[in-house]
Amino acid sequence: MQSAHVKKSRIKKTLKIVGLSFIGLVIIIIGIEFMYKDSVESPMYKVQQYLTYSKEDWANYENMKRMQAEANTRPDMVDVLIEAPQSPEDTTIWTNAIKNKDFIPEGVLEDINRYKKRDFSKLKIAEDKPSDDDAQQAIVRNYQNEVTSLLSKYKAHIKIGACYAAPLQKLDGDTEIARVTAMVSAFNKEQGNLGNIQAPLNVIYDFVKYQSDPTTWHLADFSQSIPYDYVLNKDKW
Amino acid sequence: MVRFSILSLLILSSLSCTKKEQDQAKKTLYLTTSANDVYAFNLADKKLLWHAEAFNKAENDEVNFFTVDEKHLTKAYIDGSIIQYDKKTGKKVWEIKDTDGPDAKLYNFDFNEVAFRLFYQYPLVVNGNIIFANSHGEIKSISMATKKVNWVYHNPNIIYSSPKVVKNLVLVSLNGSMIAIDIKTGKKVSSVNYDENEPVTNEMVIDGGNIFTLSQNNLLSYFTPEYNSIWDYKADNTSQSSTHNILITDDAVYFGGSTLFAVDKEKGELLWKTELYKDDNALLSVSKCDDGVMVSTRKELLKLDDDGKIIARKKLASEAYGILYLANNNYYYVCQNGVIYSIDAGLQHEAVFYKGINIDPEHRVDNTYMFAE
Repeated sequence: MQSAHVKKSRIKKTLKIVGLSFIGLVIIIIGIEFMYKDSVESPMYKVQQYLTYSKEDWANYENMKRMQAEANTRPDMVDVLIEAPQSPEDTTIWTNAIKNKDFIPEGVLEDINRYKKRDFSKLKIAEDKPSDDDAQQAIVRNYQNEVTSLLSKYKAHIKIGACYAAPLQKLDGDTEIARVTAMVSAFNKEQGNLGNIQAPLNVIYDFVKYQSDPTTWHLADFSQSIPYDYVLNKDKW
Repeated sequence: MVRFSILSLLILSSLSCTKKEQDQAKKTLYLTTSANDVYAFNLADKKLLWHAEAFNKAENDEVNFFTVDEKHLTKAYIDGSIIQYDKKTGKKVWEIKDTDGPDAKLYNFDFNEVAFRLFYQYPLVVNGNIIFANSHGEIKSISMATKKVNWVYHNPNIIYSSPKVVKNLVLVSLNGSMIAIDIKTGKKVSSVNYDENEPVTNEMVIDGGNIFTLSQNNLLSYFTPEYNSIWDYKADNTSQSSTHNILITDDAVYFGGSTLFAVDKEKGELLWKTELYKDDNALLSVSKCDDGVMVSTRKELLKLDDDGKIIARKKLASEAYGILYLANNNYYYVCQNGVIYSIDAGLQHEAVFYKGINIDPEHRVDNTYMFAE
């Protein structure tokens, strides 16, 4: 009877030791995991690697490590986020609606406020700029019959507004000697301001002169945001 | 019975071969010269089938080419005329006179001091449209059925050579650059600049869908329509090199002037070069032959073997003028005496093919254009 009691007590003791050891191990593992929480390779991760990785997995792993090490030895590279230039917007069309608290489509107010916050203080009016004819020729030469047919159909011509000096771009090929950003619009006698008439004609472009042909303006996509040209577009399209 | 069957089979097969050869034999030779008359000859009996006389001779004093299709021969003239002739009768069936497009003023390119001309145009005839370019920088597609202009692409440069078509692209050499235009819309698809030191005024040559250009300084370039370079070969020591006398075979490209160059077509490596003459002569044309190439210069015809060795010569009584054209195993060439000659591949048997070709004594460039079918 006594020996049975001693046996039970030993089993209890063993269970206690095993239980406490298990709890202790779990606490230690949690503690180590916590200590290595910012590390990519925690001890558990390493354990899982040794248990599950095949030869190929190890080869991939070593390759990745090597590439990471190479990347880390490169000089600091900074990704610069450049905001795309935005088309000018005529906010006056919303002025009365805002005053009268009329319905304004969702997001438009946000756009108008964002537009009003644009900083145009660093823009400079360009001295070297294309005339109306220069601008029209640059546009026609770029789009060819897509635009000539529009101008012929509407008996229209192109006018250019205020020109803002734009930074010269260093691309392969010809060297730029002048670059301006400006709004343009098509006009005819009957209807006045026709805006862009239709695509592909746009209302804002860059005009560029190159070293090899310093008297000719060429068309390019606009490279900076400029204010809406209320003088050019005093008659709304 | 077995013998009779075998004999019958042999006779049938020999008849079939003869018929095939006859089918392949060319029947009609078309010719134009710097004087711009057009001639059609029956190759078998050397008879003139028809002759379209030149006109506006003061202006039409350089050769312009023609395109032959199922029913018509369509010829460009330097004064801007494009005329379609019935290829059997020579009767004029269609004509236009190219002029500056109505939108030219909008582009304001300065062509005030450039005469309006069509230089070296075929013109191309593609799906019922003619495609060509003029000296005022215009590349045009015109519907033959309606004579309506499908599209015009305007350039600031004088265009000296004919456009070429590869798939749905019209490719045009513009001296300093090459432009690719969509054949249906006339919209520019792409353009590339040639090397500044290697301007190309020669016609580009299309072979197997790829492009050969030859610069003024003898850089032979081979590239894909996307302008991916396959190879370049820079030739030295030559003169008068032009794509008008280039020959492209399955294995090699032959070009040059006083020296003829043979370049491996696949690798762009020199196979051989042979001096054809020292001075007071001119390479006119290079033509295929079975075991080498046949070359015409102003003063003589030369046969070169596969290694570039001159193996036969034929001195000419009258100076040659224009291309050397191979048809039905004979070579045809025009001389300054107004005679078309034919000669065999061994340069042994020269014969008068036709006397009385109109040679304009005032022509600026010695050239002819021939096509046989």
